[in-house]
Amino acid sequence: MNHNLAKNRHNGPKVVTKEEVTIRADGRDGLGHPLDYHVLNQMIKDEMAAGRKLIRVEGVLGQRYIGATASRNDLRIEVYGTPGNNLGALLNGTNIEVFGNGQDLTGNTMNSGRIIVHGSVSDVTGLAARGGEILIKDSAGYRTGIHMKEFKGSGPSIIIGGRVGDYLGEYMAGGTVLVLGLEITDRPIIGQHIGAGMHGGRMYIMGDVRIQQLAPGASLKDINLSDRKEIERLLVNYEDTFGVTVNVDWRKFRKIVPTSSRPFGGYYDKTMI
Amino acid sequence: MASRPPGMERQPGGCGIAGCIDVRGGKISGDTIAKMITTMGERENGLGAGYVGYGIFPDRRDEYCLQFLFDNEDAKTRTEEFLKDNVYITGDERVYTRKVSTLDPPYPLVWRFFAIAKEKLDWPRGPIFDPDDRIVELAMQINTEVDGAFCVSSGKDMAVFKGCGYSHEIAEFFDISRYEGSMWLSHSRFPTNSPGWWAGAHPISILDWSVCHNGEITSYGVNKKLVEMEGYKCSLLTDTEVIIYIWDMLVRRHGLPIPTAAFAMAPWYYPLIEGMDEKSKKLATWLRIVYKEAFLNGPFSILVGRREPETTMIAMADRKKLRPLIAGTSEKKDVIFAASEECAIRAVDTKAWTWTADAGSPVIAQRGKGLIRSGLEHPFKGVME
Repeated sequence: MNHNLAKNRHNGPKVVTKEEVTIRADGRDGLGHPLDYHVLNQMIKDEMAAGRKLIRVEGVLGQRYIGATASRNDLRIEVYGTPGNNLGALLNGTNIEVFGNGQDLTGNTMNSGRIIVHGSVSDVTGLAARGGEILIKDSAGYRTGIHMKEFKGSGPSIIIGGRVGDYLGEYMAGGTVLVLGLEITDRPIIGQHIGAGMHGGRMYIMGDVRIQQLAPGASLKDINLSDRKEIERLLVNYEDTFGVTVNVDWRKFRKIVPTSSRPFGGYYDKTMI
Repeated sequence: MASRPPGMERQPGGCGIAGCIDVRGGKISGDTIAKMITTMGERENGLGAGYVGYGIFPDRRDEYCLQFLFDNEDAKTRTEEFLKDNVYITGDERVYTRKVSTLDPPYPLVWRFFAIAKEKLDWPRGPIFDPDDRIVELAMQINTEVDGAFCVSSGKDMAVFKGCGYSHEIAEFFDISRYEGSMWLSHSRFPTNSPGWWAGAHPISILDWSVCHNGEITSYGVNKKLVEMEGYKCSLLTDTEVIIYIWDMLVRRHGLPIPTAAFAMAPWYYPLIEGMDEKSKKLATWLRIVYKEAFLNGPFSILVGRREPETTMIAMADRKKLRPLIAGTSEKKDVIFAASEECAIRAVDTKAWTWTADAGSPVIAQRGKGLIRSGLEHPFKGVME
């Protein structure tokens, strides 16, 4: 373990039990600058290698790549504060729970595992995710679920309690997005250019969607019975995770899917079809 | 040789911007903004950083503060002579700077002059009576004609502190904590396609306008042509300066309201304009046609500051939101924040309320009026006024 960095400081790792550990991420330079992310992530990695089941990281302020590449299914990382970009990038099985807001690129290219955010996230959430779950209690920014994909029965899902910005599901090739629009009354719950370039996957929206909000290649559909089953599964997940009850109005659900499996075939070269 | 030449290693990054304004008339210490921008240390690479403070000279609020970077004493003498012919100098002083162990010398000599514009009829572009126009001309002339001198800011009751270094180094160099202002903007630079040098660091300023910019202006050629036709001279070797000239041109010279100017710079797509009511549609189409060359294409998020008629902070991203921007307010709603990352806001206010503004929709906060626009409204709100 890299104790040289941590031991000499008054608020270094304090072991609660053998399976749990708390790491303080706040600044130690006297000027209040946050702890450098290289140092913090090394401390987290050392604790992972020591076989902890729960790593609490407190006082986080913009440190990037927290939990990146973590790949133990029995590990949970709790983040208190504002984690930086690329939280849980390339995540592979671990659970990350954030008590605060996330920034950009949350769950970048994640493979499996869960990221839970008790707050909002900004742009490009779930970029190129291939599996796993991302649950956002409140809202997400632009380009949520961009380039998500699925294969052989495994696919990512993103559940957002509030609203999302433009370019939701841009270049989406697989996976599921659920937007609930809870407590959003004064504005549309999804932005413009939805599903730009999408050719796979599905997005469920609980609320009004106008056809003008969709980009070419995306189409608006009503939900069917199997969709309803999938939505129910995701809803239960959201309710259990955040301890809330969602008032579900099944008539309000709309589904956004690509117009075909190859909506852009021949888009540039008409002779290809 | 198999090893890469110096400077050719991959450096992950992207510029950082941060700003704060006290809308209830209070003062914010320079420490606050330094803490905001240095929290996002990962976004800079030491090739430029800067701060701009508004309301920092309350005793001289009606005089222009011309702040300069000089290569040597000689450049200062020549500038002073040039200034004497064109303005009444009411005072001057050396700007406090100190040695920073990590910042390589030579440092420029930083000097500020307080001045009142002279009325003069034989101005190069014909008689100009507007003192603001005269100061713009003057700054342009010094920057292009006086060797070794650079006017970094020229507004009333504001000054720019910038240089080639990391944001914490520049804060230390100018001892930014000695100033208190009603509004602060700051920038940490990650230059992508222009050199890192002292005058080329942000904020870039003309008159009471200043801009911090993250991104690049793909339409630079067209924008440059537009501002050069209006008499602005591009001398900073960076695309960002056209942004500030366009703001000055559209708002101060052409008299457009701020949301209208913002719409001209990041206009809505035609299919979206189609969906608006007739009157808005007509105006939006006109704006797109008349100010076609003011359209800033490419990824950007910008912070713009202005003093006249009242200290104002404008934060906006391009119409596709290709660069990050977060806005926030303090719990009492007296301080409005904007930054590239939420951590910059959290670093100075743990209880702040934050939100992501819409693409191309400006967040506008003004002293005395508070948050005029949150960036979540219909993009056309405020444009018709």
